[in-house]
Amino acid sequence: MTPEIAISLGRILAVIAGVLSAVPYLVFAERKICAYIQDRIGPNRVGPWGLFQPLADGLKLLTKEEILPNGIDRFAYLLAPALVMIHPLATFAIIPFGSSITLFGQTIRLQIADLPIGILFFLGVASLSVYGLALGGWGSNNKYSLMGGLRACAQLVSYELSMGLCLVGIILLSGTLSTSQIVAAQEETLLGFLPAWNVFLQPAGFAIFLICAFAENNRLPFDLPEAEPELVGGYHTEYTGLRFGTFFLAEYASMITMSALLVTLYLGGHHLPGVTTRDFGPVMTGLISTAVFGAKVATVLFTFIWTRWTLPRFKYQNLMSFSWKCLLPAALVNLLMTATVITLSG
Amino acid sequence: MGHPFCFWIAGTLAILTALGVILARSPLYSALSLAATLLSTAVLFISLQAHLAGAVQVMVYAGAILVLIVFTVMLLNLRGDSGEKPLRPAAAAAGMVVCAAFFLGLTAFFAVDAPTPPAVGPEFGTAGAIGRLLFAPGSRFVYAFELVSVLLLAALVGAIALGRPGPEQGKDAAS
Amino acid sequence: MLTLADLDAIAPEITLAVTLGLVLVLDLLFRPAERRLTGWLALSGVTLAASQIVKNLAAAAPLPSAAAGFFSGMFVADSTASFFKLIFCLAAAGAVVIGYRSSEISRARHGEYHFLLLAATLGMCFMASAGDLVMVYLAVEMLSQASYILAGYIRNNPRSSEGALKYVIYGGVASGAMIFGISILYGFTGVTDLVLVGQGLAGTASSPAALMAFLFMLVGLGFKVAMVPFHMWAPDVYEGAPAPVTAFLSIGSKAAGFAVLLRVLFSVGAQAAPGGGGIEAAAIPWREMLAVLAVLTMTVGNLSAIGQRSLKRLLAFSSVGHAGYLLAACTTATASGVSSILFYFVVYFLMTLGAFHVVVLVSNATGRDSDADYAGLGWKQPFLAATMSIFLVSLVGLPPTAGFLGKWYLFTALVEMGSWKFLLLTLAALLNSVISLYYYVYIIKKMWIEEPAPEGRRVVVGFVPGILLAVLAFLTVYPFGYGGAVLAAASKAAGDRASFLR
Repeated sequence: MTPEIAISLGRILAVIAGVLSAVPYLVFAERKICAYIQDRIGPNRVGPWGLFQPLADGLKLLTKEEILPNGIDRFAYLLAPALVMIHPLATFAIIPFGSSITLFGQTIRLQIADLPIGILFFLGVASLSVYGLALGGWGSNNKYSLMGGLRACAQLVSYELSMGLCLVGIILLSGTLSTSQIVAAQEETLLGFLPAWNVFLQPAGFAIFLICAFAENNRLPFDLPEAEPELVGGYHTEYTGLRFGTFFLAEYASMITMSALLVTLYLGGHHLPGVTTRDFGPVMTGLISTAVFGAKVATVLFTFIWTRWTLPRFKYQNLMSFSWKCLLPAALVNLLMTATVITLSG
Repeated sequence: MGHPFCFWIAGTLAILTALGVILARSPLYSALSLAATLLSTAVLFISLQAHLAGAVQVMVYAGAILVLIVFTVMLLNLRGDSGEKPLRPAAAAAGMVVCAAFFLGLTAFFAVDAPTPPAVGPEFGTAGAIGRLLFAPGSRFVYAFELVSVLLLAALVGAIALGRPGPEQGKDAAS
Repeated sequence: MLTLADLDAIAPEITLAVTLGLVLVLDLLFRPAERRLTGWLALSGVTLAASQIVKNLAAAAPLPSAAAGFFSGMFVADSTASFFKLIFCLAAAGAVVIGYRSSEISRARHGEYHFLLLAATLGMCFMASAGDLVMVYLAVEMLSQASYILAGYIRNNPRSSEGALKYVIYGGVASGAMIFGISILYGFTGVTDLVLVGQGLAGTASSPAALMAFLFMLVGLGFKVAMVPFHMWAPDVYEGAPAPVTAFLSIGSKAAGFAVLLRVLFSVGAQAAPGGGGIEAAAIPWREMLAVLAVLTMTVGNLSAIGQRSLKRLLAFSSVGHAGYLLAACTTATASGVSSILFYFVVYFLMTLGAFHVVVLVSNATGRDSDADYAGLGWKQPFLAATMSIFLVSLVGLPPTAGFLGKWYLFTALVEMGSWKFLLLTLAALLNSVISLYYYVYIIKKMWIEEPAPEGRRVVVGFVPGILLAVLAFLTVYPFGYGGAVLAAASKAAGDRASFLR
């Protein structure tokens, strides 16, 4: 095995393990935060401060009975949980989660694949994320599932458009499609004190992207595809046990991925403003940059959770008209202004 | 160039899934097969250095157009086959003969007298190169690009003209 | 690089595009009942474009860069293209005028109707001027998209939807085949410029792949001109579409198809000898192939027209037959062949527009489209029946009508080639004219000899339609006043093409 392949495999394993093991604690954090928002205590029985609660939950899902409902479309039903995992994990391939680290004489860049078309890769994978939800809804032979799948299709397609237009603004600013170069472009400072993060250069774009990110992840206030009071559980109504667990896992994993992407694109990635990470020696540089990245992701994740437990759900027709009549024009105007400013300033 | 391994896998998949498109009885499976075909083709594009074409293939076709097809299938709830025989044996045989003739013909032509394609530079197929081809002043495709925008506008207006429910219906049908 | 000459050459297209945008905006400003007023804007835009085309045509010598094409060869503005564009503009103007009072297009949708008409016209103009395979494809698509929508423009009419759906499906397959052919050509030559493709093909001796590419492109273009065996859409579309659209498609779309067919045939083949070159170097028997297709097209078209009860269907099959005659003239690949095609289209415009206009008026009154409505029309409404008879006689090609002159020049161009093959082709075309006599005269007989149906309603001919019909009929029946001038213009235009060939 050549070192390149070993390094690649190592990075892939590290990312998958990192993301998947972060999910249970994200769930735990969500439960705790929502408890505090609602003036409750939240899980505190299993382990110290309830820290082992996620493990218990996972164990419960694993040992539950797997039920195959009657009249399902077997192929679609079984394929769907696998498909939904593609989007969160594949997207992470293009996210630089740290600068680079030198181990055993090998300098390893902390990014699985620095594609020249990184952003397009993300958009492509994101646009495929519909299939898992749609198939789950279709295969379950349940009207609520079907409606959930339909809503997921419509919602994801609608919000992807505005999201893509926000990304164009960033591409214009940094002049590249590669995520690592976008991060590098955010290293400088503006006006002497502000880090040149895209969130400051593209505040409107950031806001639109954030809203679209909520919608893409089916998070409240955009959780129409699985709105409990209306659709029981939406596209995953008929799933039990581990298959339901996969949907659950994918949803939180894609939240993490989306936050990581948001950090990469708008919040300067793994850079700590004011500090050049080069100062800390070969190993520490990598670790510190990764830690910075992690902290930023955690902040965004907190925003996700905070929003969920603060805002009520949209009505379905409002959801669609908000996307097409509000976000899309706003994103277009943002793009137009960005392009104008860039053209005028040469 | 991409790895030959890549080509064989993606090419085989593309052909098999393309067969799936026409042989599947359920419209949903047809659509899914088509999505898989398009994805395999995208891999082929990427293995030929055409990264942008591959990405666009995924985003536009697999990610948008086919999603809409799947959406339609789900909305109309088209389950199973419509009771028609999918293929008459004679038609299938004729189709196979035509396909075989095409395939053999094309292979023969390209084996015999295909000119060697010009070598491509490192820039080939990158987003930057295609962007310059489309937008750079002096590039010949600027003109075609502008035409595409009018074409899309016409298609858009046409779609709205057909799809919009007519409030005027019945009121002033005759002039 | 972009120059002022470039802008001058595409001035008609720019005018059309601007008008198109204005129509779209104006449509939103008007109340639904007033929206057909956008027709005036469309009409003036088309007229302005036509005047610019005439100016380009009248320029004493073609601009020096005309042969090389504008926009680095993407756009060829030779006089043949300009002549074709004039026909497109005439067809568009005709469709606006006879669509203005058509009951088939509801008032609120007139704005979009005009928009789509203009878009289709723009597509046709680009087709005539395409100098590059990419442009050929894009322009064909532009025309197709607009025509699909226009064909299905009557709401809640199953026939209209059926026609449009068939049009979309056949059209999709045809354009798919065409782009496949284009991709093969590009794969072999590595260029998309038509002239360079011709040079590239001339380099590869006897290539079956070139034959395949040629065949595939012929599918796409043959579909546009309703060539057998790609004509199946024509009767359904012509029957289902609103009559003004049918007239527009049968004239404009067919002319555009021929414009681009000629362009591809001659530009790709231009390098070695006029009309031969790349295609001939690749040993494609394109003349023989086209001749066989031409005979098939005219025979199938004319035989199928016999026994049609719907006038629109009858005219659809007759237009397939006419495509056959025109295809036959394409095989000559001489200047006189091209000029006879150009002349024929002018004539074809007059008689087809006239015939469809009568059909519009009659079906406006009766609410349907059947030959029974024409029984005894001559006794009730001699003016309508007389003009219709003139158009039909001209479609047969009997003297002294314009149709006769058109056919005369077509056949002369064929006979001039001298070889027995072309004589055989001419003979087939003559025989077909005799067949067509049967079904055209059948309608004339119905109008003048049969008793009118007792419940028949009177057809209202307004003032403007009446004038239009009279003018069209006059031009059709007395072509000698203008025929010489048009023919001179056509041969000048075709001569420009011929010089472009060398």
